[in-house]
Amino acid sequence: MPFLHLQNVDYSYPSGESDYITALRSVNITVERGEFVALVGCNGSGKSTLARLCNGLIVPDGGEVTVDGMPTSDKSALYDIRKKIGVVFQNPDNQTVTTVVEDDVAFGPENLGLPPAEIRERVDRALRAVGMSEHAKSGPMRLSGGQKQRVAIAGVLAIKPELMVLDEATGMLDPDGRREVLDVVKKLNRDENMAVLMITHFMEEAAEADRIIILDRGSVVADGGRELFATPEVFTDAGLDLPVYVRVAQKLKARGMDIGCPLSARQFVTAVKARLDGDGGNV
Amino acid sequence: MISVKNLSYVYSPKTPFNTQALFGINVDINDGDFFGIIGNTGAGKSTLVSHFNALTRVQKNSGTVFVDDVDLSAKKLDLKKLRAKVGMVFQYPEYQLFDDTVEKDVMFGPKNLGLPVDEQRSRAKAAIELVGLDYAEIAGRSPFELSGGQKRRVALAGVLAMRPEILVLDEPTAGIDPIGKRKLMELICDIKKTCPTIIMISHNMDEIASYCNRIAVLDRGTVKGVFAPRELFGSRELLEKCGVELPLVTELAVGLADAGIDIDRSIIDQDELVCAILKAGKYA
Repeated sequence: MPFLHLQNVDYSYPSGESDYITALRSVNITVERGEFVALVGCNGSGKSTLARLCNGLIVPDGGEVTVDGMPTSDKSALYDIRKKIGVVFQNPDNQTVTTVVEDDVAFGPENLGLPPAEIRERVDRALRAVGMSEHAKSGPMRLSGGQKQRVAIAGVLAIKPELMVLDEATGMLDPDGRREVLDVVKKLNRDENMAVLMITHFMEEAAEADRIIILDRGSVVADGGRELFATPEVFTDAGLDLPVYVRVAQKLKARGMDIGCPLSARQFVTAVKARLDGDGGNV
Repeated sequence: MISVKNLSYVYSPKTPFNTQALFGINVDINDGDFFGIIGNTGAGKSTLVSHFNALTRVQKNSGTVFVDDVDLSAKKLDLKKLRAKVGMVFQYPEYQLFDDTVEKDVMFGPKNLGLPVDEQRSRAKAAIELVGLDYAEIAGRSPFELSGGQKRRVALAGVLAMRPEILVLDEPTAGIDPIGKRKLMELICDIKKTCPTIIMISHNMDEIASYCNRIAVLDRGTVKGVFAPRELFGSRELLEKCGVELPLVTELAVGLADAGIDIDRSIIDQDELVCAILKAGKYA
């Protein structure tokens, strides 16, 4: 059974007195333990609604969301579900609850009713994992955006979830902050086998995931590995961009130089070099 | 034109939280510039631009800021006039929408300029149309039921309704999807036809490289320099000195050059890169 399973999920928001806006329609998504999945889609595609469904902040109108077999519609299971899935949202300022970094990280485990020694250990470990140990006693408001978001991640980590959902968690950060957060998440996925569902607009970020799911106006329109970039229409039809190396490769192909579909900047360079060397410059 | 001379700024002076944000900044922004300001979090970008419409006042003995011939370090300032001239669009401006209809929200600026109601309304209509929204369809709706992209456009219209001559944009495309980003940048180029001077803070080097004619690099409260895009992105030395990351296209060009291919390292445009590669392979 998949760890996170959305089966035929429908969700709509009320709009005005009697109208509804459909946010998600018959959505089927799975995330396995240890997987790194990117969820992409343009504004209004239903990405954030999906994030909220994962840990039962909202429950589907139709269909079912299960976490490790437990449906999110079962209120008595919510406590256990939220131990298994942690969500990091876009704005770190909205996710800070205390005035000292380590207290903020301790908030989750304290609410799990853990013994103090265990809380201490989890907080230290979580702050170490995100590289924020030296700021344990600082006030969160005096940190940079990237640092604050790493503290928010530490707060989720201290719960020891098996899946972390990041809802555009790097959206408000500068390039350095974005890299800090991405590196931490990748490391946790690699070293701790924590599954990641990363919702993002940055196609270069999505290209680093094991699997990419594309959401368009409330429906899943593609679900696959990076080979999806070989069929760029699935991205562009959903109102998305492509990583710049894919776009340049397409333009080269249109002008008669086919270098295939590079899946990273490095592959792009290698492919161009190989093609130019192979041609010997006499095409 | 905006002229900043030797500007310093200290937050919470004479308290334990005393933090100096700007250290003797000198920068001139000319009429007609699409002026980029880059630098990491904490570099002082927002502090600097918030001086331009006197939201942040020049502190005593801390330099001067002139907008045309108006001295912003003067004690008495015609703030109304200044703020009609210098429009400021903050980060995530949609958080500042407040009225119950789009039209009223956009009319708020002109109303505060003391304009007659007819004029407020006609300016709101023009501004809403300028940002690419359908006035008849949207004017009576609540701004809060719009999509994120629409909200941002409404917020931008609210500033444009003041008919500024200088527009300051703090990360205008943050949080918007890639195609929406491109459309918004095209819109900003359109706006530039009527509001000739644009100042844009951005972390997106591709946008900075494609749209700005001059770029100021800020670092921990100082100006590292003001450069033309190619001058900055083509010089490895400058980039390293300023801690600036490359536009993605330039990164590819540099990768190719490093691999021994004859390619200019200062390329900032996709089509240009395509041509350069084709030329290197004698496809062109």
